[in-house]
Amino acid sequence: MILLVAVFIADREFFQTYNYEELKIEKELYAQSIEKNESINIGIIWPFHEDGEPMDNFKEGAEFAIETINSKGGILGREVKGIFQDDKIDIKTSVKIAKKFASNKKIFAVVAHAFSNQALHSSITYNYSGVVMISPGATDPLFIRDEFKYIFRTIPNDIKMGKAMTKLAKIKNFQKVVVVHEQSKYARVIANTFIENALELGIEVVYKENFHPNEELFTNIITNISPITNYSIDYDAVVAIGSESAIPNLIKNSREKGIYAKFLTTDMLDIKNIEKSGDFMEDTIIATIFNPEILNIKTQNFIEKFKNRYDFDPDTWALQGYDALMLLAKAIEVGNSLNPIHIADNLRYIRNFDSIFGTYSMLSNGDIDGKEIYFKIIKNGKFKYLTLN
Amino acid sequence: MSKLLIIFITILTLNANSSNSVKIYTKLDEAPYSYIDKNKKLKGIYSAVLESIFDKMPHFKLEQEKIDFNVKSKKEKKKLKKRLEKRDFLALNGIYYKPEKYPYIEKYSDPIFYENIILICNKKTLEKKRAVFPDDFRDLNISKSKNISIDENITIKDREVTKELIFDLADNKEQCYIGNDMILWQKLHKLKNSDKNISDKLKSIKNALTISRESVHIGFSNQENIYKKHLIKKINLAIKVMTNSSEIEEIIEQYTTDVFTNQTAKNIEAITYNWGGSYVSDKFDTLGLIPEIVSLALKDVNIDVNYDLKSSQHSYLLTKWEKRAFSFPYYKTKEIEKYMTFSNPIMFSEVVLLFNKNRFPNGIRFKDFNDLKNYKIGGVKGYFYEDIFKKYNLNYTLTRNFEELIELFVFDKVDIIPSNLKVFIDIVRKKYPDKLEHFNFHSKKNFSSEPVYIIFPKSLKSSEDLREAFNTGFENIKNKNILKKIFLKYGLSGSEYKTNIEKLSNFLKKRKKPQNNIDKFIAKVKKSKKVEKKVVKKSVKTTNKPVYRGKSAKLYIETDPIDSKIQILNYKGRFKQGIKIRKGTYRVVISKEGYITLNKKLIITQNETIRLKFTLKKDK
Repeated sequence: MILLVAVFIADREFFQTYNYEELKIEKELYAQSIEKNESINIGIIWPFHEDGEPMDNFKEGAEFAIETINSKGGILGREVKGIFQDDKIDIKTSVKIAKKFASNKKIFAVVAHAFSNQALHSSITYNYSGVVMISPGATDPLFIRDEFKYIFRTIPNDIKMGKAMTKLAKIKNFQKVVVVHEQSKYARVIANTFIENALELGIEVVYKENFHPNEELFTNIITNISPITNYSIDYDAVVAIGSESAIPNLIKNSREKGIYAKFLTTDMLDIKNIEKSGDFMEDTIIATIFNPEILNIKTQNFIEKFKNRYDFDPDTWALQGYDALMLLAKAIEVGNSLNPIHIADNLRYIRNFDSIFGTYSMLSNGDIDGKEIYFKIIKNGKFKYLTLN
Repeated sequence: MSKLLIIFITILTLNANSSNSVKIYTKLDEAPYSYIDKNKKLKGIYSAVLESIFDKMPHFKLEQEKIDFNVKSKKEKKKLKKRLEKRDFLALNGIYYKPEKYPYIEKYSDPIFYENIILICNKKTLEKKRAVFPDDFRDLNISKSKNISIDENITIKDREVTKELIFDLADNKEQCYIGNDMILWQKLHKLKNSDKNISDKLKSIKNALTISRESVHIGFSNQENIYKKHLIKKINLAIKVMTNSSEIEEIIEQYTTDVFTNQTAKNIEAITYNWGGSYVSDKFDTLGLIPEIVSLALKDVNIDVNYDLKSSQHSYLLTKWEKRAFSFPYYKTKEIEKYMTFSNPIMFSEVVLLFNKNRFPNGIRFKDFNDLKNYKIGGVKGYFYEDIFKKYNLNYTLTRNFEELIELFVFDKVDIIPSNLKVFIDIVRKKYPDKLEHFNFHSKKNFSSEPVYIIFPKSLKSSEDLREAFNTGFENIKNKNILKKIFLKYGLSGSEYKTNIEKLSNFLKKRKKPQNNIDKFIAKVKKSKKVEKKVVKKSVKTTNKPVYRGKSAKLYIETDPIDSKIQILNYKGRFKQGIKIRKGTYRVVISKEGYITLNKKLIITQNETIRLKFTLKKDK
């Protein structure tokens, strides 16, 4: 009982009830009366650090977008300000931040979350409190719901990822594959989509297995697919879907057991310096939404300017951060309004947006269409981008 | 306004049509720049760079055609002129910036890379300081590649890069030669590999100086095209990206080191597996018959190989996964054919029909395949005999691999199986040693004689060159009779030897058979192994069984302990290492105080060098 009271006191913000309708009206009223000299505040929520190390270049990408926008006079003549918050890949933290931002009438929009779990939970608060939410990382198909008016994403969903991976397998002439996936919704959706499409394309799945997210040795899977222990096994590649901590471990253990097949995995592994993790990662194919070799003038200019500003090449997530903010700015400018409902309506109907990723469109349900999925393979500790035509 | 409209239409066109065809001519030159390969395909740095540029432009589809400016006849020249005047191409790839030479080229791309025209001279010529061309070189006898034009006022004759040219340069009959650096070094490298003398002569030739540097471009014709401007912009961007990412450098490297140079410097990593004991041995001191053939064939074309030994499936998978350059030995199967290319046959495997002699004490009947309907026959899925099983409507069972088949056979789930005898014996001896004596094979007629191959992964670019190299080397060692010697060295039995020599020499003679029964065969294999190794490894107890059979010989005996006394009882004179001993029967006695004396029979029937090793056991 004492414990419950303690939890209640400590976490009262979590249990605090909100009148979402009031918050929504408050924001709309503020948006209509905002002064010229007041800044536009955008919440930017991301797991910026992991174990004390920067997770990726998302922060730099978002910062760079804000600098670029402000250098051109801001949005609707107002300066843009980013309010950066770390979600620590934690649902509770994410919801806390969502509630904090929701109750701040000066925050109309957020660019938020690298992972679906955090994005899904906080999206409820944002939607009902009238905050436009753009997620550059949430891939769960359920993140976009017809009844939600304020929720958007700028990344292809898991079903598209599964289909793209099957297409790649077909192009690479993988005729027999092993499919292993983590016991998570994310991995299961992609694995199942892959298998369904593989059947249609005549790719044989010779072995399928799942593993616990905390699995370290993968003994069961490796015993079944290693030619040292299974004399009959024959396959061209291993499709491995899971987190950036599990998959490299699986690959490393597999290599030690004589499995030198190509590993095909999702953009979950599209993280900083993954190509330099060690020799075992050689011949791993990683999905990505960014191909620096695709000749989009905007992309090339962005890469050059970013490099001049930060002295290193931007990663995928730097582009995602930059792109989401530019999309938001576009929606505000098109509607000439800071009212969240107007921003959301305009976002919904942005077609052929000329972005640093090329041209893409937003769908009326808040999903994205036209952002390509590419693949890169690790060769000699460097990425080589694969041609898909 | 009209400009805006054009841009708008362009964008619409690009979005509506996902693959706009762009016709580009690539100039035919010499390797490594632009040449026609064995498969009559356009290859080289020019076309590889162009293809890579278009890989980055998914909205455009490249239609690449070769164009040869080095035509000689008037008719061909006229045809070429007509083709160029037609202006049905958007761009010309692989040209220098020469507006006077290409009047129909309106705009040039940014430089893709640079080609150097260099001067090589013999060391003696360079003893005198010569830094300016042509002034410092007027007193010399110089030749050049015919494709190079020198604007300077100096007389230079055209000459091909040949062995004679190298000799003339080295012997100071000619002092210098002018050529394109990459073409020149590639040609010199090939000559160097073909002749050791050239290698020595080349040591006296040095790179003197770079005469000129030409930038290579894609030139755009004055053909009217709505998206030309956009395309030029994109191509320039691609060149920039490729230069920054060293992709162009990588393409050049790929074409300037051919399979021979590359792989001589870095040994080829191949993989094999224990097959039939002596065909591919699992003991690394004696690789076995097939690895020795493979090594010698590749050595003949200056390629060194490192071997790794795994199971047959693991070897196949590592090759399929491109982790090894090739693997062997394999029969041709439809499954393997999907992924691999095959060498010419490296040997023919005699496939016999095996049966359990306890179940079929009178043997089996096999005059033709119809006779096999009376038995339950087993085989591996996808092997050459699957079609035979189906054709003759046999009662068959197929397994996923050979180990599984042996298991079925050993446990009487099938009556007969076709297999190479040595391979069968080797596996059964290792896995089910007490069962070996239960089996026999049909000695009157073999099931078939099947070629075995080296397999190379189709997905590896280098496979085709390596396969060609192996086939050439294999042909060479066959013609030099080295192959025969290896077959004899490994004690290939009479009929097997003959079959291989005949079949590999493409003679269609009918094979002579009779085969021995399984026990005789094992004895024969054992004997031939002794001949092969010329070493008796185990200590030998006193016995009348001869340790060696030969006609006459040079005899070396190694003992453990090293200071043991060696006596040959019916031989006049004392034993010393390398004594010549005539054909006949002898008795060898090895003794040392504190050890059990060995007494062994030795039969010499032919002239050979015999090396024996005896280990004495301590006397308890």
